[in-house]
Amino acid sequence: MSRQKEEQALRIMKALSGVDEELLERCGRPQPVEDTVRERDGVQGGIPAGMSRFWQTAGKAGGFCAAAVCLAVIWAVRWRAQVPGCGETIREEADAGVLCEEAENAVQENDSPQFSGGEVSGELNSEPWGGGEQEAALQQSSEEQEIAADEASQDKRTEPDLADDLKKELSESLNISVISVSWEEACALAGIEEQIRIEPPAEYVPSSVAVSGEEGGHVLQYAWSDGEHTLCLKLAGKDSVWIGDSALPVLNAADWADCLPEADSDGGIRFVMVLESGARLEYEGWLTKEELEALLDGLPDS
Amino acid sequence: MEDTEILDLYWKRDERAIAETQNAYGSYCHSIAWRILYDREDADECVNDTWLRAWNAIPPGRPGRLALFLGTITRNLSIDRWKRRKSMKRGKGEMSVSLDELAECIPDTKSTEDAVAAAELERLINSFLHTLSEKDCNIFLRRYWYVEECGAIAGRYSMNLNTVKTSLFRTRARLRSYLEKEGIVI
Repeated sequence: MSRQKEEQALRIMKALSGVDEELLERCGRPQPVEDTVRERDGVQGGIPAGMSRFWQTAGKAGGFCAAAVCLAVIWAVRWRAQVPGCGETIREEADAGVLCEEAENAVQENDSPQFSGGEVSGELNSEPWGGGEQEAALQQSSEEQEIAADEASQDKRTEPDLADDLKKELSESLNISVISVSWEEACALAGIEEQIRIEPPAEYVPSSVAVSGEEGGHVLQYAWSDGEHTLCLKLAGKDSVWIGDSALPVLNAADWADCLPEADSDGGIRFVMVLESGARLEYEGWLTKEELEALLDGLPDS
Repeated sequence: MEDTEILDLYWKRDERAIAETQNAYGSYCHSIAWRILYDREDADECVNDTWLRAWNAIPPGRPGRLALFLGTITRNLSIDRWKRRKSMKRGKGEMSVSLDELAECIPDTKSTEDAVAAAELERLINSFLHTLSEKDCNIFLRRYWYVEECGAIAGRYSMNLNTVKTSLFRTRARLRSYLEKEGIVI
């Protein structure tokens, strides 16, 4: 990091010292702050209080109930899609799946002592949540699923038009932007010359893309998700300024498969790979070794 | 001893105030300093300087939340000391990593305008934090105010590590957009 960037980052760091005390006090509380359903005026995030209390008191059984409801919704959507003239789209199915995914995640993350057996800590109740936060989270996830759905719906635009639109979108918000492009397209638009073919497992769909850095030295961050885990790749061309986690193990592209690091405490594997061209590829994911080999089989040096 | 009683000692200029503050908040302030400086000696000095600053500030001040008041002093002292020392190698301690991450939030600009005043930047970042969800705000503050490791944050809130990292990534992107929209030059 350049001295100027360091100074600027330090200013942000110091500016955080003036943050409101209420925010600091809130983050200092030890209980988890998941996107749970909370009480406000008898209605929790748009869900009737009776329904939310059901989830809270159901405890672990609530998780199974949530999964069963999600499966029922997905089945109903698929059934409608198969009926001629219903006009069901992949997008609606994806939205239904997203809503269920968020509900499942909320239930899974609620699986803690504070939320079992119907107990809700008093402090949590004293901080009412707006229903807008859950809606925002759903919308955001819905947007990501929409990206994946658009990819799957086989866009009918011609290739030159597609490239122009994507270039315009990228150029308008080059430094941090999320665009619905494939890995190859993202590499090309980020100006990364190395031809790196990536083959994620079939259940992983693109979930986010970001390009950062200055012109001529972009860093591409691309992520896929299978609904539970995220597979993240960060690729920087040989001329790009690399800002990564320097604590990660560094592997050579020639023999990376023999030097894979052990999984971290959360089960994920993380490493940086240096290609012969000087490009760097940072990996974070929960793939098995076989899946990882298949993913990176297209590396120039492998 | 309660905070109000400790503050009363400060107001009476009773030197027991320092000892009581040390008993109540010594570990808390030390942990903040340690995470930034990663050096016991420097962290101890910052904590001791914190007591001196508090003694000089109270009275006339009477902070409503003594812990946060002291923590903020310690944090600022530690950041200043880290800046002066700059002896931490990359990859050692979370401060360097945190700064690397925050550097992503700085808008690129070719402007030669003067830097925004510190108070204005504080106000804007405060406003930004209020736009975040409670979860994202808490994670962001634990990472960049307390300089906690992502794993520790995940453990504190019983989250997956990946969830924490994703939240931080998105929040930094949002902060960058927010600062760009406000036309901030840092």
